[in-house]
Amino acid sequence: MGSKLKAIKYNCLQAQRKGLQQQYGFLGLISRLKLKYHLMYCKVCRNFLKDSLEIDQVMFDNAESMHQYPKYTLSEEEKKIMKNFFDDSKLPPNV
Amino acid sequence: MKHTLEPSGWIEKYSDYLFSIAMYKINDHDLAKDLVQDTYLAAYKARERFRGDASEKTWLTTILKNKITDHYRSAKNTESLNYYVESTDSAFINSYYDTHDADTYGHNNRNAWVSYHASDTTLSRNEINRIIQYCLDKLPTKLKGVFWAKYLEEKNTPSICKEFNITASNYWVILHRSKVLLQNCVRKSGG
Repeated sequence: MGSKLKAIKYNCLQAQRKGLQQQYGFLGLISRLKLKYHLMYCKVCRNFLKDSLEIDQVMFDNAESMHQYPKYTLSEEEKKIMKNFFDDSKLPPNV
Repeated sequence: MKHTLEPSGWIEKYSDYLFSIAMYKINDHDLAKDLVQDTYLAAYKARERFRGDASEKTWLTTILKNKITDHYRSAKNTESLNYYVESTDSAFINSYYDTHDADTYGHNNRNAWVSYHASDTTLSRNEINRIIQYCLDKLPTKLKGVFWAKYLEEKNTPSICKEFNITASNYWVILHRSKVLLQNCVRKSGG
C-alpha cells in the first residue's frame, strides 16, 4: 500500500514544476489531482506557487512599462555611429 | 488605418526599445546592438513588403525577434542552451532539494523555502517590485532571456520553445529554476 501511494505522489520538485504548468494552463486531469493532493499537506510548495503568481504580476507590469521606459538604452555616441553606418551604406534610416 | 514607414526616424524613435528587447533576451550589449542595426537594414530592404496593417514599431519588433530566433537556432547557441540546462540540473536540485529521499525530495532547508509573504517583515508592493528587479539582474544570463520571453510578449510555451530552440521540458525547467532563484533572492534581500 505504502509503495503504491509513493508511486502516485509527487515529490516537491515535481509538484512545483507541475504547479507552474497548471498556472499557465498546461496540466492534465490526473496531474491536477496529484498536485492537489501534494498541496494539501505541503505548505512549502503552496507558498512557492503563491510567490510565483506575484512574481508573474511584477514581471508583466515591468514588461508593460518597458514600452514607455526602455530599461536599456544606447548612448548618443552609439546611435551616431549607427547613423554613420547607414550614411556610409547610402541607406536610410538616417536622412 | 494604414500605417506608413518613416525610416529616417527609426534610430531616434525605436533604438532604445528594440535594444531593450534584445538585451532582455540575449544579455550581451554588443550583440544586441548589432541585432538592432541588422533589424534596420533588413527592414529597409524589405520596406516594399510592408502592408501597413501593423504599426512601424510592431513591424520592426517582429523583424528583431526573427533575428533573435536565428541567433538561438544557430547550432552553437542551441547546443549551449540545452546543454547548460541539462548539465546544471543536478547541481541545482542538490542545492535546493533533499535528494537522499528520492520519493519525497523534501526541501533541504525548510527555512530557505519560507515564502516572503510568510516572513515577519511585511513588504509593500513597491518594495517587492524593487527587490524583484534587483534579483532579476542576478539571474544567470542563460536563464534570463527565456524567462523574460513569456512576459515581454505573452507568448505561449510552443512559441517560446521555437524561438529559443529548446525542448518543452527544458522550458519548464528554466521557468521553475528562475522562480526558485528569484524567490530565494527576494527572501534573502528583504523578506
